[in-house]
Amino acid sequence: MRNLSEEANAYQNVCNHVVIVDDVWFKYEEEYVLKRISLKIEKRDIHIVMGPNGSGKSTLLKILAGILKPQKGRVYLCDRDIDVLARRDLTKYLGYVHQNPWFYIFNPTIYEEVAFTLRNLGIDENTISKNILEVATELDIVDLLDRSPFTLSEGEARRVVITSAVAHKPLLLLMDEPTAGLDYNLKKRFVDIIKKLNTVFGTAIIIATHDTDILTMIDNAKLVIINKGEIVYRGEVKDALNNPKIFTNNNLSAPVEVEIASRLGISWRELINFNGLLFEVAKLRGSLCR
Amino acid sequence: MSLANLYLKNVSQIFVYYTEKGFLSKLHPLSKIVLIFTTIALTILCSKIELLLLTLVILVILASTSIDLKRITSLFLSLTMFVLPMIFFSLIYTSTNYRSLYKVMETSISIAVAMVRLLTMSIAFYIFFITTKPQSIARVLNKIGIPYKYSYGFIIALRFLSVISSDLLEIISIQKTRGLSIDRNFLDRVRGYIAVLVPLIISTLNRVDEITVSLEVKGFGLKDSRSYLNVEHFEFFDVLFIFFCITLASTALYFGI
Repeated sequence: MRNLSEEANAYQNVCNHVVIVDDVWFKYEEEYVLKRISLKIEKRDIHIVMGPNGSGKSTLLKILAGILKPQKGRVYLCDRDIDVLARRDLTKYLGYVHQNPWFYIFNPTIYEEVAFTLRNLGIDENTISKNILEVATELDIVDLLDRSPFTLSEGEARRVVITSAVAHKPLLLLMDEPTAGLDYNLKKRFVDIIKKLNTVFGTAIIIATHDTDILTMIDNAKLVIINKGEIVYRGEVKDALNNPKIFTNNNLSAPVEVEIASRLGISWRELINFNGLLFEVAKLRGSLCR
Repeated sequence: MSLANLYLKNVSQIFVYYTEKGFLSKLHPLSKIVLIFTTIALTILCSKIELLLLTLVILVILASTSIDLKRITSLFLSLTMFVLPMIFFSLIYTSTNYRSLYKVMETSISIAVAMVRLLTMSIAFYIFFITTKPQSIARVLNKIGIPYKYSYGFIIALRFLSVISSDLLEIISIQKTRGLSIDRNFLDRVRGYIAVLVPLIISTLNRVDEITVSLEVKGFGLKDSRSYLNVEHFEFFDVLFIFFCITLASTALYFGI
């Protein structure tokens, strides 16, 4: 049996594009909730899909995960039409993280929970334990592996679900509102995890959220803003942060740092650096006082 | 969308209030309760299929004044999908056991009567739930003597049905993206049900916990009686509607029994 990492590398090298969304239209009832959606996701890309509530972000993610079928348009995953892909291939290529971690968890231990997808893919037990250890080390949940998932906190449960979604080294990781209900520090930790997944495993990542706080933390990502079912902005995060009107014009609030910086008449990067400096000073003061 | 998903989606919408327009939404909830009771009496006591069909047609016309015909059709389809296997097996049982065309015909007529009864009763309940605000149902139940703790509990349970079924659909699709297959052998099917039912129970318990806490912090149930901001008024057309229901039911019963 082939090693999973080799398999992941192999199919990453085979695909020209991770995802191509070609003029997708989708409706639940009468009105289209997604119109004229076209996207191209390359290897190692991080895309943040933003939009106010009900703008169609989660629907887009469900279409990419093969859960919903668009009425018009096509989606290609690893250059193959998602409609003709077998369920096993979809599972192999994709990791899907829903905003509610409790919709996943049912196994008696976290190890079993993370191994679920790998076992469904028919991977042998040695490779499974190797993979789980590798991913759990990167996501810092090795200590949790023998615990029951029903004793976890919300933040831990989220990390377990992310581990479970990436344990098979998917080509694409889809995350729906992953920072909902997390405080600032947990958000920062979550962003570190995302960056690690992207750099260590080469996973392309799409995050659907309306939380603008994470933008200043992943400013090298690409941003897509959807409003009323249509893409209204497509570009680099850092360009959008330099022009906060992009957010306010689309019923979104600009990140707090960007708002404060624009009122102070300085750039948001300067403010973040200054904030970081203050944090370091506070830490130093704390250690000196002790 | 698979047949099971479509069925779950339709069922989840049955008890969800959605309309504010139309004649039925303006009726007092008690008038609609009278409609339910007269329909139940009529469908139980009357056995003539023509009269039952006529009642069904009248109720569908009445419902279409306030409810989208698409929704009514999807309700009928869901019920038919639910009953179809039973009809199929009872017809097979009759034809293999009695081997007589007359018996099969007799069974078919009984099945048709039962089906029309089911559809008639369900459309009466459907009219009530879909055109009456949940708060109004709770208030009216309270007014007719049911303690508000229980009437509110009943309303929450109804609202939960749609939430639970949409959670169920979501969990099934999530576990499918993780490679879950319930189409293979019996053991895989059992494992598949566990993978779906455990998260469903846990998320439902989490929701119950949240609702309980939010009700307790608002002092729910501290006193036996409570006041309401809005009150439903009994209008003249409510009297007319009740008169219409009772007259129709008595006439039908006179000819139908």
